[in-house]
Amino acid sequence: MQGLKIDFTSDTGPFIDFNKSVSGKDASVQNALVNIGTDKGSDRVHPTRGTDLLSKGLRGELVGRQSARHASNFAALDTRIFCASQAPDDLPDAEKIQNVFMTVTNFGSRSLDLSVSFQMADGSTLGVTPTLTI
Amino acid sequence: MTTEIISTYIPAIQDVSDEQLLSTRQRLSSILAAAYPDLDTRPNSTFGDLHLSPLAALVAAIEVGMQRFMSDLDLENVSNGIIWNCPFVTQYLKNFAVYNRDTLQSSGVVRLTFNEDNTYFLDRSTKIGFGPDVFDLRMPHSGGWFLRAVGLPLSSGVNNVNLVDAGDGTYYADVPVIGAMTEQVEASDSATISPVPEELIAVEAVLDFGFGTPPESLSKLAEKTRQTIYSASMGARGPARRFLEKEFPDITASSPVLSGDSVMLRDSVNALGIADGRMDVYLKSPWRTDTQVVTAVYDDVSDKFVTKLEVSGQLMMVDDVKYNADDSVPNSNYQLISRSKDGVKAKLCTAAYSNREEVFLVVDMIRDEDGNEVISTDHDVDGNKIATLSVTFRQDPMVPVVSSTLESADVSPVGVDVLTKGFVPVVIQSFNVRYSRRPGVTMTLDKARDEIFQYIQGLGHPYTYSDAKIIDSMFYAGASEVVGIDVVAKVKWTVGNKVLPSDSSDPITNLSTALTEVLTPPAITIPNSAGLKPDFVDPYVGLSNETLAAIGKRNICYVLDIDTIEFTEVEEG
Repeated sequence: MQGLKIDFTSDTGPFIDFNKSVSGKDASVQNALVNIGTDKGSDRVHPTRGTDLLSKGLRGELVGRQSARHASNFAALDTRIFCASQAPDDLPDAEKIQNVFMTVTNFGSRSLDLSVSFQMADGSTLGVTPTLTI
Repeated sequence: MTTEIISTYIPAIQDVSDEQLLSTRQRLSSILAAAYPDLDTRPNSTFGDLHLSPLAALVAAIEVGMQRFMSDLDLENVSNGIIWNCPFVTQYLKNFAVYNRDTLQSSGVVRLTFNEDNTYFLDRSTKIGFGPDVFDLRMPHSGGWFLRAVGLPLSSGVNNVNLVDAGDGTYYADVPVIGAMTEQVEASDSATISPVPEELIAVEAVLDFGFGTPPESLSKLAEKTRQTIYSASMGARGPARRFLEKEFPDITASSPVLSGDSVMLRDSVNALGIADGRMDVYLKSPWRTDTQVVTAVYDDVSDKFVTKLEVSGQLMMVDDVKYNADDSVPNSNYQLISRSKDGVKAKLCTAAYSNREEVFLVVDMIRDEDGNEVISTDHDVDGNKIATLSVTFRQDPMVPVVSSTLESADVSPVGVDVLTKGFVPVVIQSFNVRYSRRPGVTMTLDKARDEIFQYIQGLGHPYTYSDAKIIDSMFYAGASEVVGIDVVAKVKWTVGNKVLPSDSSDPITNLSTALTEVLTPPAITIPNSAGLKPDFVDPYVGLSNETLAAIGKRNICYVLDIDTIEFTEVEEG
């Protein structure tokens, strides 16, 4: 599948790069990353879309590394389940997310660094380390 | 008319259900996948979130708008009050009104009063004006209307009616009219007429005109359209009722009675055992009370006066007969004799309250203790002794109007003998409601009396009497309990209290013999409210003393004077 690329690397925050596209497993992974940062319940059409990770951070519920790890695990699970539910039947295994792994790499006073990796249904993996600043 | 689709049909997106939004998004995604299989339309994708989801919301709202628009085209929904765009539905229904415009016209009866007893002719182009509204003459037959002088014979197949002597030097005739009415025409409203017949002195409405296209809710209009669009003939019971409703909106009740119904006694069975086709059309419009001066001829053999009563509408009841201008004839000193003038079509009581019924008023010569005549008399040009009597009566103005229409060649159903009649009245002579109330409660009995009166007066098939309505009125008036409803009523089979066979002696020329030939219909007195739905058929049908009286739910109506309604408070407990 193919779509517009979201650039997550900018210092000013993610933006849609209309000059670039993503396809294949990159498109699926991009969707999953968006899902991680989407507040659960914000989409009335898909109530299970998104995670609680960002909202918990904003509410101050991530009081330590352990709570952050728990929240990120739940976020990974929610993202895996939702992405699987939205995958078309004919989506190739290389583009189908089978597992999502999230690891807290840094727990700062104002930011949380996570290492996210994706295991596709064909066995290949793809890993990114986004930084969520809360 | 500008139909603003967005503001009237398309809902706000937040009013579209989640299920509809999801369904629409999935369907759009499937449509796009067929044409663009590589396009990522999934949630969280840029196209999916930024274009497809908002588009799906818009499409879902448009789909809801389309459903609402189609609902406005479904007259069943409109008639149930589900209307999304009133101006559009109003315009839409006018399409049906144009198609059936001549069947949704307002209807009424006007009285033309003249100062000479002559024959007058109203051309077909005659217009009757009530304020801004113009009415045409209703023409059951071809040609204009002949208003024939008092007593002149009427012709069949021609629009004609006799003038009636009002007794004050004027003569009147009632003529039906139809037209588009924007302002309600009420009984006694004056009208203009063009061209103006000679010697005409007044034109006025006889009864409240009925709106053909009522200024009611759109749901009522749609319901009427659904009814009228599918039936327009006298071929069967339901279509016949619809035909009457749309042609004569001023009728308050109608009931076609067919061969095989218990109250149909005009039908007969041929040698093959097949009943011939008969239809009695019972109808009711607001009765009108009038007074008419009549000349009665004295019969010295029987020592009585006799005259035939001929009124402009359908004679339903005689309330009072006066002699010497002011004195009422006691009830025991006069009788009304009904006779069918068409024994083949409708004999005996089957002709009652129809244009086949003749009613003769027979008044005893009242004498004082010394045997002197009390009733003043005179002599006519032939030397016959006569008396002038004033008769106060109630008549239904619409029965002859409907009758002439149903008998016209364009409307009369093939193979069915149709006779138009007024309902058989049950005259309620006393109506007493016993009730109790809690201390301190103020009863609004005047309102209850008015409600009960309106309810009973308005009854007609398919609506029959029910105590429940009376009890409701009493509860709203403040009663805590209705202990009982005491009623005394009797059935009036005909206007008269006697019936003459069609082949009997003519009462006018041979009164004494005719009086020996009269039959007395069975007396049915109703002792309580439970009996106000009588079901009776003459048990002597086929015998020499048959009267062919019959009453049931299909041909019954009630006559009740408001002053007859009384209330008796009973102590609680």
